[in-house]
Amino acid sequence: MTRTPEITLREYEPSDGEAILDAFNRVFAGVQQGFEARTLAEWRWRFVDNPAGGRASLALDEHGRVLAQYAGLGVRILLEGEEALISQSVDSFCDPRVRGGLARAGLFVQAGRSYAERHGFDGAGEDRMMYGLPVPAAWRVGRDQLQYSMLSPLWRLESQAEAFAALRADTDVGVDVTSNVPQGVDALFAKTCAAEPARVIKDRRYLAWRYDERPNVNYQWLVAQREGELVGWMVLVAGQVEGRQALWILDGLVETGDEGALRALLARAARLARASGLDTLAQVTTDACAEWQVLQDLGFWVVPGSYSFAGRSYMPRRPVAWWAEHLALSLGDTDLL
Amino acid sequence: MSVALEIRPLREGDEQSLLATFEAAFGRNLSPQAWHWAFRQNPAGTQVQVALRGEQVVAQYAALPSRVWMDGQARVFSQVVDSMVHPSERGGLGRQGTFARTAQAFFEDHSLNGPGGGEVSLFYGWPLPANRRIGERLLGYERCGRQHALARPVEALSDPAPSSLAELNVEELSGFDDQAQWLWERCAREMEVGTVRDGAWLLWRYICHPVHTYTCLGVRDSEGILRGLAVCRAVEREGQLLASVVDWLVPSAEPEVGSQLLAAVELKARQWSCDALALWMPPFSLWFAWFQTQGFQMHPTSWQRVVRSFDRRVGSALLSEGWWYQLGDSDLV
Repeated sequence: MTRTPEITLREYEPSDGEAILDAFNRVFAGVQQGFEARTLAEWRWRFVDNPAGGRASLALDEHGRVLAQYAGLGVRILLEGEEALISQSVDSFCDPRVRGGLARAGLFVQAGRSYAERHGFDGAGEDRMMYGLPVPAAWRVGRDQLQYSMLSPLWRLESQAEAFAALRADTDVGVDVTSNVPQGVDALFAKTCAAEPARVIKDRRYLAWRYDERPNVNYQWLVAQREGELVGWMVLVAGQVEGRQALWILDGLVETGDEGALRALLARAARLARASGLDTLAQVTTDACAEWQVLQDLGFWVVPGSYSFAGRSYMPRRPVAWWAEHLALSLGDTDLL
Repeated sequence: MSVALEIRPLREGDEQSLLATFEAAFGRNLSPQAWHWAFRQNPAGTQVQVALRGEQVVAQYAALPSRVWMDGQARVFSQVVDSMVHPSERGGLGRQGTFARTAQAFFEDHSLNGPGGGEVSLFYGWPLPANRRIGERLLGYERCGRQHALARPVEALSDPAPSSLAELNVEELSGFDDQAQWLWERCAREMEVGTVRDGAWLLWRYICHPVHTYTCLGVRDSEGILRGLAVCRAVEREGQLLASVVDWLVPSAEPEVGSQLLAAVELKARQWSCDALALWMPPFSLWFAWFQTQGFQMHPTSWQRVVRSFDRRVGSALLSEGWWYQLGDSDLV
């Protein structure tokens, strides 16, 4: 007869990193082809160093081994003019050896409920909504047991790099390639996004963490300036998403209506793609992105992505339908690259 | 003392009271002809549950079924429409209220594997926000996200535009025969699931519609075989007059047929003084990319699609990546 182990549900602590990774790497190696083991440095960057905080509800056995995790990364947003927190659910798992049967609800669901109770609330310092890109099995469990709703598809916007390399850019906009977050991003964000209903805060603190401080990944920055003033930026990385090899635009910002700066950035990105032997310039976004139409005008075409953008709102006056219409996400707001 | 509530399927004789309640609930009139077309002439049958107090219909939960083809078998999907409750009953919008009880009885009667022996695998619709919220709260509606449309302005062409359908080898169809089914069968190979667009359905949906006039455009080859079909109608939406392509049935291997039909739709759009062309196309369809190459852009609309599945074979993945539907599968146009 098998003895039912004692299960402890609790919030993670920074010292749990090795125990979490031991389970995480074992579980994902078993289900994900080509999985590369997560390093402690990467884990610390995600959960401990994140300026908006990491969260994880853990289910542990009596030996302190992690059996299940429901985890998320804090995301600071500007919500109708005020700073608020939401979170991106990532890296959740349940050890297949204990999946189901241990209690009325599976351990994954127990961890997920504990996470939602601890972090999801319509109040300062709490997560007003949670979003994620669940795989189909996680979506079904989330929908049935954790109150997930579908927000929207994530779309790929793709273009031939060759066509964009020839984009006519304003001659007064200069674009430089750098490896660090440029000066002036805070002012540009404040000027550009203050009136948007829901926008992830792309300030120096966030951008430095997301792109400059990430271990083992080198992102490229494009910095557009007009008369010495920052008028736009983009973050790029070559890689594969949904089986598509491309130069990916992870993130970017130009002042609303400054099509000259946008064209200059895209043209430079396209030339970098070609120089890297890549024929496609692509990005992933929701249709709430402010440049949705102008990007199509410039020549991006829309391709359905295979990821679903699902979530749960904790704001009674802002149901998931509202977030679906107003929250713009870019590839950099996910953990895909 | 109030009269007891009776919930049952629609019967002959309910129509007059039902239409009066429709007017009270929606503040607009539904003609007997339009009602008869929707609920009595649909070749896939009638699905209406009513709640009555005495002789008066005080609530309705209704749907328009259609036969769909999936995995080599016919199944039934059904679009929920015109569901309503009389203003005097609106105090009871909770789980035990008149509306919810009427809807529950409807689902019991019509859903696959339900106690009523129904056969509907999937209910779907594009409800107004208030109705959607009630549906999500009380009736298990699952939101699938925003509905998207492909649209393109009607531009003045620099080249002389064709002045007649004949110039384009496109004809206006006034009826459908077996060739419609053959065409559908050629297209169905590219869909995992979609409404069977046979002659009976097309005739009912477009030719016999008592309120709207649809223009059915067809391309035939030299042997008279129907190679493609586009159905369109001018629709006013948010201050713009749109030439809405409500149905598009062309095998994706025949883009030249698509080009002929699109040119014909443009011709009609100019004749109707439309501002833009618009259509729904499932993103997985090859036509989704093709229309973008023709200058169409994708726009989110204010409509949210909701579903309720009673068939485990009809899950989220199939609905987002395999369900081929058009504007004509809705009652929005």
